[in-house]
Amino acid sequence: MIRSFTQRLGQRNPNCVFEQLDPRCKLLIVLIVTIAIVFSNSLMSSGLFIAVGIVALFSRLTKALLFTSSFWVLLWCIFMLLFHIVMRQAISAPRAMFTAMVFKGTALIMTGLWFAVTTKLRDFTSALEAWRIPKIIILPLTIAVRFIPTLFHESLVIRDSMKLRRIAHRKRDLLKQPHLIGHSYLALITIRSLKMADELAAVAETRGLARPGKSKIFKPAQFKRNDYLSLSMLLVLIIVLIIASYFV
Amino acid sequence: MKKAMNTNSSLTNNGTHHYQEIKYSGAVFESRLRSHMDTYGWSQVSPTGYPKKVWLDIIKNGKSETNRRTAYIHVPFCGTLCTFCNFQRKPGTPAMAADYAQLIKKELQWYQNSAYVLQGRFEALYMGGGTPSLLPTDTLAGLINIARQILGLDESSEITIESTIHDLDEEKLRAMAQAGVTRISLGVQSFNTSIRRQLGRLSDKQTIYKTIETARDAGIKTISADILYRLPGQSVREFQNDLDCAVELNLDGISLYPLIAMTGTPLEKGLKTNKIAQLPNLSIEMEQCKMARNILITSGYKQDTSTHFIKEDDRNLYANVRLDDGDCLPIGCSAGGYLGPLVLMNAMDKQMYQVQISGGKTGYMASVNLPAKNRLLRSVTGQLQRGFLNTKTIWQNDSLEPEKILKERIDKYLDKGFLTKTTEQYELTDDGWCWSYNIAADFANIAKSENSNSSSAFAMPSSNISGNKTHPHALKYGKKKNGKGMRGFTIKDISVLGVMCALVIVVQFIFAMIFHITGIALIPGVMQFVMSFASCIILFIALKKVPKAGALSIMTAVYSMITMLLSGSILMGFGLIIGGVMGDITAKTIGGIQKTIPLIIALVIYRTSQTTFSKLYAFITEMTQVQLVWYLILFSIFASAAGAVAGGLAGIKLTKKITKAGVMA
Repeated sequence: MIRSFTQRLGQRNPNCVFEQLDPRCKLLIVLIVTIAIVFSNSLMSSGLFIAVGIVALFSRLTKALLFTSSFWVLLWCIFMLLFHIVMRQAISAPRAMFTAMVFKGTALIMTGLWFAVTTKLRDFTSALEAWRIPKIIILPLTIAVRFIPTLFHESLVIRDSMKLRRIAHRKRDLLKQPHLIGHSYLALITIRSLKMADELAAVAETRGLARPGKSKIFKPAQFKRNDYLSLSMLLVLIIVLIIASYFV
Repeated sequence: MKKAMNTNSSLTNNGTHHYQEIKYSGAVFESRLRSHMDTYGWSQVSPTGYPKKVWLDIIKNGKSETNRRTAYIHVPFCGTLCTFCNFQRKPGTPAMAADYAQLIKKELQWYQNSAYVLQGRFEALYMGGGTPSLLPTDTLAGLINIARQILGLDESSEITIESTIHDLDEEKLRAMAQAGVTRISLGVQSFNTSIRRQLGRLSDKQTIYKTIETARDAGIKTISADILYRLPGQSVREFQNDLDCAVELNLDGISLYPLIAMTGTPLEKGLKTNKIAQLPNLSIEMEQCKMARNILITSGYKQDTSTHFIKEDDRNLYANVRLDDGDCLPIGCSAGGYLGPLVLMNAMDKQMYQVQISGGKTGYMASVNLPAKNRLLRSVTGQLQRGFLNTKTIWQNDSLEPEKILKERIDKYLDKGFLTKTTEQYELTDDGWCWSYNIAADFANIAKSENSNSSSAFAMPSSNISGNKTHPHALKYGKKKNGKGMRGFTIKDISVLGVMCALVIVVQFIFAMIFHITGIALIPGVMQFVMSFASCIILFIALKKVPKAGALSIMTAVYSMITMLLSGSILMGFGLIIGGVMGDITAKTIGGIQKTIPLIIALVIYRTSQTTFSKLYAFITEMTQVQLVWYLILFSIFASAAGAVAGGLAGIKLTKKITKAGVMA
């Protein structure tokens, strides 16, 4: 799943309206959806879940949507079972908990994933620069966003090599030998990360990123009709859901 | 020349032992430059143009202006690590090297049938490392055959392989000769067995003699050996014994290098702690250098380059073509080379290199398009390393006036007696040869004076003396490249903070997934402890690498923005920012983030703030209803603090391990 997701990052659909929105518009959408979800009730979170699901389908994130939803459903089941078995009592409102966990959780994560997957790093940077966020934050943020998939990949490689060498390779080792996992995994991934950072710095230096002076942005961030339209649609949806919640 | 110097093992003002301190008062140069990397001042250029377009144009369309071309293949594995070496290499096995050879083949295949390769023949192929002879015999032979086929190397081409003595046996040597290897460069370093052991070399003197004899019998045409001087505690007499052995063996080529105590090597550590005898001082080194030249020339050798002496059988083509402004196609990870005006370097790490060549070569890690003047200076340094300077034959174009550019320095060195004028060119004198890197570096620095404010990919700061730099083949990031709004952080600091931030997120995500799926997350405090431990251990290392005020705030700000984007945890995001800033301020107040205890306290503050804020929602909504939640939240905060302390302590241990691995420079 993670492998296919990291591969998906490199293949963006140029014809999808949702993928072509201005990064600032996308950021605003993420922010609005996040705030709406935090303060939402069941109806509103269900509505936002459906809306986010439609966007995810259009942006070819079906697998990620299914995975995230299944993950939350699985978590919900675990919670229900644990409460039932360990605490010897059932949760009073399982449906409310389902809505809170599955709908809210999926909508939140999918919005973030949609942003991360459909936004080119260069566009993201120029959008943040347009908002006058300091370079000292933009640069590490850009690097961190870029390297999250790479480090996921690295983690998988380390896991594979640990399996190959039969080091803490069984699931029960998580409980039996957590120190060994930490020892082998954390040390390796940290060394890899530091080496990557060194290489990256050399590349950045070569590309002239460290030079003083303002860099020229060839594709400046710009709000277009589709951006205004998407934001308006989202706001209308939230207003409709708030009104509907009031009546239901 | 009048020389007055102190010993190279002296006490500095603060009482620390400073074995590298060498002053050469009264002479032209204060210290001796010992590596060709010291002469790379011409590489101090701002990135210009669009190098990818240039190299693609050269390779795809064959638009190379030079007819002389060589190739370099780098094999970054060694069976044993020498104590003095900090080149781009790591311990490896023949199997690992064989695996890596597949990547080399892939890169070679990318060049196959390109217009550049078809345009003309390659004069030389050099396999260096690491230890290319670590490759299993069949793999090595297969790789050479493919390289010969693709690069069009014929009978007259020179194919060199670097090797240790202990890697070679009769079978391998015969296979190498059969595959077309014409020259081997043996890392002898010294014939004195005890010195060899000190340097991390395995074989003894008898084995060296036997291997060289076997190599000759196997049909290797040219045998060259590297010999070191300025070895710890080495006298002039001891070095003379090594030279006598080399002459006795009738080697075709002899490379003489002064030992450099590279930063981070076991040798340097041994010298610092006085576990290894001090290096000979500059007067002994100069005596060794001059004596070597006298002995070898008397024995029928000719000085070919600053470090290499040859007999008629050793053409030393690779070095000569490179120094003669020829092309050098870099192949393999961390291989560097030139294509016309371009200076190129492949990714230094094997995995990055693998990514770079998977699905066709996508690029080089670094590519710099040299301006005309810098290219001229590269040519000048090349000639000076070959012992002469000819203003007619150096690379130039119509816009340049070499005589005018070089005049001041030529006059200076004629005056000092390092250069002499013949009818056609200037030539290095005996003294000039010994100081050839200093002279070449001085000429190369003509470029520096004009580009002092620009960034550089391959720059070597002028104050650097060989041995004080971190890595001879590593890219230099420059001392300080503070762009607008960088607030004292270099691009390297930013890279470390960014990548480590990504690591914190990835590790936390993986732990969160595992803990939620297994239900461990429901055990009060466990999740907070582990997450806090995992994030703090990484933050500890990141902040040890970038010990600057504000680094924690930057990391937490970035972390919080990504957390807010990906998980929508606004409260946690705010908690992260506030925690980071508070941690930073506290650390600064109690002694600075570079110290271990303030750093751990800062991490505790950061983590507890983050947990408090992320629990704020539950705190506000549920504290009045269920008192148990109250205690659980407090328990979580304590668990976070404990996790942060444990993470910090584990970080100390991990930092030591990483430092040992040579990453934590």
